[in-house]
Amino acid sequence: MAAEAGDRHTVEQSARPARSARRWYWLLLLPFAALLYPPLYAHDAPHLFGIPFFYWYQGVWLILTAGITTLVYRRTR
Amino acid sequence: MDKHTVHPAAIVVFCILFVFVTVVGFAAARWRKADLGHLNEWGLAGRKFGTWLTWFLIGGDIYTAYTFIAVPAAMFSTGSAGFFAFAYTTLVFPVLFVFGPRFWAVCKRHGYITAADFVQGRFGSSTLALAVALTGILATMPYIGLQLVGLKTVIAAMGIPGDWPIIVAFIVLAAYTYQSGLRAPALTAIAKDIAIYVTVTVAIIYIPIKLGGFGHIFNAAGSALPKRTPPAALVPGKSAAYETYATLALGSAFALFLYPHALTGALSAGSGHAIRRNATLLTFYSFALGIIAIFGYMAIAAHLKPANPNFTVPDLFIRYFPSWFEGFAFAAIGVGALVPAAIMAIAAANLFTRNIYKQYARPQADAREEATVAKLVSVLVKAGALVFALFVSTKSAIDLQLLGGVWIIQTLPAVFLALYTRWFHRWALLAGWAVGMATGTIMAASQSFKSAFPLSIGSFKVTMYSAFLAILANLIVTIVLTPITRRLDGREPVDETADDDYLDVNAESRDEPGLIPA
Repeated sequence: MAAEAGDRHTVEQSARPARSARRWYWLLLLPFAALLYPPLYAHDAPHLFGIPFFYWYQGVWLILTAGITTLVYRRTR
Repeated sequence: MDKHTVHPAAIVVFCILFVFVTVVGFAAARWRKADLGHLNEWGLAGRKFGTWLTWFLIGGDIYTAYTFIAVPAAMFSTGSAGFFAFAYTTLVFPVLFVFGPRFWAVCKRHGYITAADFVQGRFGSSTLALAVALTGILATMPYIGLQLVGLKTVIAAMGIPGDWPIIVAFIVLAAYTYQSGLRAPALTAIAKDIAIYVTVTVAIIYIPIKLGGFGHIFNAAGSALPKRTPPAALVPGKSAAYETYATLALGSAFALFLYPHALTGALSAGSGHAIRRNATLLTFYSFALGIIAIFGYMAIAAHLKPANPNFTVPDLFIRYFPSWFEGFAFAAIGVGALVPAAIMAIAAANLFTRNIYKQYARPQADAREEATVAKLVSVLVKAGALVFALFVSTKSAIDLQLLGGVWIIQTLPAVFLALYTRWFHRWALLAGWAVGMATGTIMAASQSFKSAFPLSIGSFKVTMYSAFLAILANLIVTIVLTPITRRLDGREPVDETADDDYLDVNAESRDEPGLIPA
């Protein structure tokens, strides 16, 4: 089980993510806030291309979530 | 469209794609050649996959044939309630982003192959590891069975009667998984995903044109759904519906990456960064899933009357596609059954080999013996799933799949939360797990395996996903008991992992230069 224990790199001091960078992780809570309270978006209107709000709102949040994870990735790597 | 006639062109195209995938599956053994007699190679493909292969593999792994059949079926019969699958596959990515790289890093550092290996190392408890391993195997089995149900559905839709096609498919699948290990589903996933994307793109453009646009599709669904028994809605409107929707989305998002097949997919990545990038890139699949969900409403707008809801998508494709393209689309779904079924069987075999066979029967087993056992067990697991698909009713298969979700989320504290804290005590974790498993199973069974459970304590009434309520019970028990059991425990085992082991930036195989933070 300890077979890989020998390959520790020597970059440990510099590679540890800075505390301030890790603050960006809090952004990942936004999609949960946006999607876990359905009364917020369980509406028929307004429509977008004939699609009720309930459906396209969640579609928009899929795109925003992808954007947020990308942002957090760029800020913390 | 109750009876399906034989569609020769569809069958020919289906068979051509199937043979192609079989050849790829066997050839995969020679791809990135390594010693497949070692479990790290057979069961995790050497943990070397870059961002794109990981994308195909995890995408092929978690967006399964059953998903493509079941989600539109749920939309067709229960309306907006079925759309939680979309919210859930959005929320799963922040979860993957946070926990995935840490899990990958600690497993890489210590050579862990399964979640139970990690639990064993972190808490030094083989009993807790056994509980995690058994939960994983138990939750995976019906999932594999449902993949076969998905395959059976498309084959039946082409007018081929009988069980022999899925028996043939599974002998072929078992053979190439035995030979190539995780390399086989990784390569076949590429073919599967391309076929799925082509099908979805064609369908989302062509069918709405034929049906008179999205406005008409949603209007048709809006007027048909309230007439269902029980009445369904285009947009949820009751507080019980809100609670169920939100807890299903949240519970499923946390459950998904605890499944052995999803963790196996993540562990095969070559770096933590490959996993982080995938937390963004995998959203493409969720987009496709959202479109596939709407197929359920297209079927309503087209006035289809499928023999059972599982035929919603097959009947829609039969109605609108020429026969040869129908065969292509069904092959996409069919291969979409084989990819996850292979990964699930490998993951279950890894668990059995590492955490049951090696732990309890043959502690002296070396990596070579582990690989041999895992290969054999992967065949047994598939045989079990085949028996399951042939002799267990589809209804029971779906019920067991629901229970699988209720069960697997009970490993959350010992696996995901333990990536961040060693505060939990092993006995408390075991007690919490037992309480969660029992209450979750009872709640699900008491509602004849509907996912929502109406909980009332005095004047407090909620209707929530039973897995969500069960994991709350689990967490409460674990947190309350931890200080008590720790005091009772004279000699707590040492944690073999160190804080730095969880940081993937230190680990090997960085697949990009300049990752040191600025």
